[in-house]
Amino acid sequence: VDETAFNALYGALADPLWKYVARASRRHDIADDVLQESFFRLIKSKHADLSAAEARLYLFRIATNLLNDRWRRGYDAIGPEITEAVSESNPDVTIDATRMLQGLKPRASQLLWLAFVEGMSHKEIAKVTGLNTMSVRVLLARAKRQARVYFIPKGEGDEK
Amino acid sequence: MKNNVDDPLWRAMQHFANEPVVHEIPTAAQSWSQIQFRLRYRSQRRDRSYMSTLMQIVVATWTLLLVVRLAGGPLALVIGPMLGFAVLAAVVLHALIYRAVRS
Repeated sequence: VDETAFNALYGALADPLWKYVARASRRHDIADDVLQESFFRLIKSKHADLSAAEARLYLFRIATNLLNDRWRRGYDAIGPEITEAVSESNPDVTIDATRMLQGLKPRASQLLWLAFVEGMSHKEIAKVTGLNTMSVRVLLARAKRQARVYFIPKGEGDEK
Repeated sequence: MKNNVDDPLWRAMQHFANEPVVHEIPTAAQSWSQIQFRLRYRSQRRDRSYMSTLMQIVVATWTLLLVVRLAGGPLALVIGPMLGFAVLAAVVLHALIYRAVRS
């Protein structure tokens, strides 16, 4: 991979990858590290000449594994809660998505992120997380159910 | 994945997709130069560490050989076969380390 190809790939994928890691770890320094480490491993690997779509999955997979490894080994404490509310209102419910992601287990919030923010298919999520497609389907459905706890029916929130 | 714009969960998550990154993330140029540095430094360091291990094995083998040569007599008869095994082990170890470093 030459510098021009790297720049194009980095330009397209660095922001979404950084956001994914930063939201999961709640720490910008870890997001910076994981971002650079992911690209380093991609370049070092035999997969450096992947298409942009394949490289995207590969990078998200590396980043997910790095995050999981760091948590498993206890390298990082998860950062402080992000206090800014990211809310969505519609006629029926309000969702504080920030609180929801922080309240869910890391695996559930990762799945929701990959599905709803990155728009990945079950098959793609399976590639990124190392789960099989059926497990992704089940776990994602469960994560959605758990997320519904954070839906605030309209009227209830207003009374508080 | 097919997303439904009427799904409040999907719409809530879209805020994250569209939110700008306020933090200054490493630029492509910074990351590229860091990667190039690491690739170069890493391979040199690994080669050095590989050579250092190999040199230790060679030095240890020759030291043992010298001791056997100086000691002479029945001790050499005992140590002789052991030395053979040591050399064989060194060769196998050499091959294993070489494979690990190059992979």
